Amino acid sequence: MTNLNYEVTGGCLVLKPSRRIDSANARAFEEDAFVLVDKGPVKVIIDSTDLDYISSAGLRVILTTAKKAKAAGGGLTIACATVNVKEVLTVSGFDSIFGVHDTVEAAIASL
Amino acid sequence: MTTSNTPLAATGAKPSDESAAHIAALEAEVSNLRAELDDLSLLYEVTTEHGEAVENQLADANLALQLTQTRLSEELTEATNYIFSILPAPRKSDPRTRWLLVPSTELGGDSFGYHEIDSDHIAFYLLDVCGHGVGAALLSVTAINVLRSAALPMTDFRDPGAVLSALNEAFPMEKQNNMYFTIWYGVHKRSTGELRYASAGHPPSVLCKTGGEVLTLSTPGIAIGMMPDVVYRAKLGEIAPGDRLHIVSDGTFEVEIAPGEMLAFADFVKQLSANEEPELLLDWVRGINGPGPLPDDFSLLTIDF
Repeated sequence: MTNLNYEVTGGCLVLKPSRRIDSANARAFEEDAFVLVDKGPVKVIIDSTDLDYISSAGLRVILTTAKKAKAAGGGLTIACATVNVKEVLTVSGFDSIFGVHDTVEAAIASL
Repeated sequence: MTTSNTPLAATGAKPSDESAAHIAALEAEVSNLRAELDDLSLLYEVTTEHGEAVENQLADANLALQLTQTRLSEELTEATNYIFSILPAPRKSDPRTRWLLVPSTELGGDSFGYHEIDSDHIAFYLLDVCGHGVGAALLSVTAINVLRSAALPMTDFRDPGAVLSALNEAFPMEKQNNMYFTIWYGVHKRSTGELRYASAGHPPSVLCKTGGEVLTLSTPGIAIGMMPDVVYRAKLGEIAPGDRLHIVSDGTFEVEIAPGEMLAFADFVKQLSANEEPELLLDWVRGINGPGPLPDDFSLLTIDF
């Protein structure tokens, strides 16, 4: 049972966090994401449509989720980043490491 | 409760067998009550003594706790003093520097430095270890000491890309208790005015040109230690006399202007470029944040060329 919105589509696990990933909820995100990656699929997409902000604590759990997915033979990428989230992803360099896609379909195709 | 020692049989009346039996039963009951009273008195004494012993133990434990707290807070102060002691004094000669570092808790993960690599090159750097507290502070001073003493093998410290790549090799998060850090590192060459810089997951530095133009300086690349084998590359900029460079950490501008709405970096840059003194910027950010400590360390290093 997780509080994190998700769906499995096109052989990928699409995580859809809402509003913010920050120090208040990063741990909960990580725990939920790890449970879901354990169940599979291990190709993970962070659908950022409903996300306004990612703090450094949020970046950290996206990284740990990506490492877990990669260790399981999958990967992680990001879709539908809003302007604010895109800025955080650019400053942190996450855009070049994980890729940012305009649509979930494009993200699925990239993994 | 009162008891009488007068035997019930000594009333003068001749007891019948029945009343004798009744008296005997009453006597037995009284004797039981006396025994019970004795037991209760004893229990009361023992409990009182035990209570006193517990109180004494509590007092001892409290004293021990106070001593431990005093020792821990002294050690924390000692650690804070050490961190501030390795931060360089403001430079009085060109380029001049001013700085402000305000940890959000007793110990933060931010630190910075600058030093002359040789007579023509001077390096400026500011780093931010994820998280706060003792662990983050330990990694922060370790990394800053490595930079200060040029302790990375086969690395040209005049090349920011090479420095960040070498740091990434030296500090993988898996070997640093899962901590990593962001950094901005720049080298100014006096003879030509060139500024070479590279950043790793760090907010851009802000260059205010004498003519009024404001540039943000950063390069792509994730934080040091996150991923192995990352190659960082430097960019080249130009510094003219009179230019002013601000190097910041994200805690300097990541405050909420309304619930759930963060201060935009562009608005921060506007305020930063209009401000002469680091303290004024801190006041402005504190004004936005409201009462209480800032959510993250506030660090600002300003260099006047």
